[in-house]
Amino acid sequence: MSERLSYLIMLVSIPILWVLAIRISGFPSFLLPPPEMVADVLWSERASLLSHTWTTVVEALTGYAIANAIAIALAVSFLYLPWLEALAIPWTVIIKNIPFVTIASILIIILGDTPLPKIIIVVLITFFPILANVTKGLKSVDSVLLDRMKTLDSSQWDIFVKVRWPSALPYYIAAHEIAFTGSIIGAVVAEWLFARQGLGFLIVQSMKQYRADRLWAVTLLASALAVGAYMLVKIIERYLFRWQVQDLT
Amino acid sequence: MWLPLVVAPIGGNAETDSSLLAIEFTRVSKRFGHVAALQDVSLSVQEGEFLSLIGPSGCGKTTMLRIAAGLELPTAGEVLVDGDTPQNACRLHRIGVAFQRPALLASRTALGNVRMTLEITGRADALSPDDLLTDFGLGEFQHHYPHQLSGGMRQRVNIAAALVHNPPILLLDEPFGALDELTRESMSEWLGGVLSRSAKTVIFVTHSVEEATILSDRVAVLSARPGRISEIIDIELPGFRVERADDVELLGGSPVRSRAIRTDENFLREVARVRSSLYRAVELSN
Repeated sequence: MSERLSYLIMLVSIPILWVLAIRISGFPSFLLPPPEMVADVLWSERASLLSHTWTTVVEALTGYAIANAIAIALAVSFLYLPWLEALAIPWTVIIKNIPFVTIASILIIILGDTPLPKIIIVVLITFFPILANVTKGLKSVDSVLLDRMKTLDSSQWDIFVKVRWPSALPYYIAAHEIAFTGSIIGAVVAEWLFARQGLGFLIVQSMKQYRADRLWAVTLLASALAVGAYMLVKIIERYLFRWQVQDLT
Repeated sequence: MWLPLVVAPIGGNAETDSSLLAIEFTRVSKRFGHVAALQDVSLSVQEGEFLSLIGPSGCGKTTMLRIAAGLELPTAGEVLVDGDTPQNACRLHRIGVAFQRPALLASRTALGNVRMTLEITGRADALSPDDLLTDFGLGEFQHHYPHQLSGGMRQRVNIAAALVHNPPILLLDEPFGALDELTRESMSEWLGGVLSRSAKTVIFVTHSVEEATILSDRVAVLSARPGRISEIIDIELPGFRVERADDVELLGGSPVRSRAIRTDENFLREVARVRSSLYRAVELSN
């Protein structure tokens, strides 16, 4: 069965399963709202939903851009300064393993309801997969290629641009598959802890007001964003590596 | 179609005129930790000569090649390439190297991989990558990526990438080692054909006695533990290099030593000589 068909079946199944769940469980609509009620929220509150979504997207993208810049700079430094990598490993182990909700709480106490703690959380969540993959990718170069470059008296710059980076690119793209989606989730969770704007804030507010319909609307929106991010990476990946799927003609 | 590879003035056995020395190993030793990979190896390769290194595994033939390519430094002794250090010879782009595993970038086409050499070395008296690939029988496959090519084709691209900048010295480390027997045979004929029109100096590392015999002017047999030269054999067969462009036309484009020679008794005699020498070297190694 083709992948495309499987996705189509899933999209059609969601509302069917949803309606079935309501019928079978018998939950009232204020607990488990039917699809049309959620659709109504999505439409009637679209202005407010959009503005909160925008807040989340800006935080996620800002954090993600920063994470990419730092991770790539560090991975490249590790390549040429092995002692720096040795020095950094214990730090990455520590930072990676502190539960990020506690870091988020600490940051919110210090920085208050500003975009900064949310951006920092996004950076913390997305930074490590990128760093790990790019570091590994840059070292994954076939030694035979490096030997060939050496016998041609190639400059370090040429070796990096022509051999190392192209070899690392598949690893880098693979990191985006995990991390780009993670940036949206990171931003939502950070807002969920403390914020007055963003999808995470809407979740908290809807819970407090027992607005299950809006909660579902936000869930749909946040999921669509994260899935959209994932698909975008997939499309870029397919474009960059289109040569891999080309068949013999 | 014939490429303007370097003119081929070399025929028959090389002379001992030192001005014609392309590569010279003088009492070279190489240790890796406690392992003596090479001990006291001296060997001269004449300009335009095709010399094969053959021997049991662990005899240091690849190490010799890597030292000549400037990829390893000898622990003792000296290697001169064109009267200069291997590193300087690399700097002057006088060496082309091809290994058993093709050094190709997966994300570049055959043509892109060959062009990469020129992007690094510059284009002074380089060959045309398109013409070279066409000459290597890969004209239709220029725009194919390595994963779309067969093992033999990949190795031809690899060798094209190693000689597109037209270096006078070619170092080949078991380039056909990973190929099946028949592909191997046709590849060594192909290489003989390519080199018959050039005056390149070649060091060729191989495991195959037939391959060494059919391609070489001389075969150096090495023994292992520690690696040293056990014997150097002059191959007494008509040289595979042609002297003039007319001769190429006369031969219909096939190398002098072609498939037919494989069943020739003179060839079989030379193979037997190299093989018994190899057996002696193996005995020495144990």
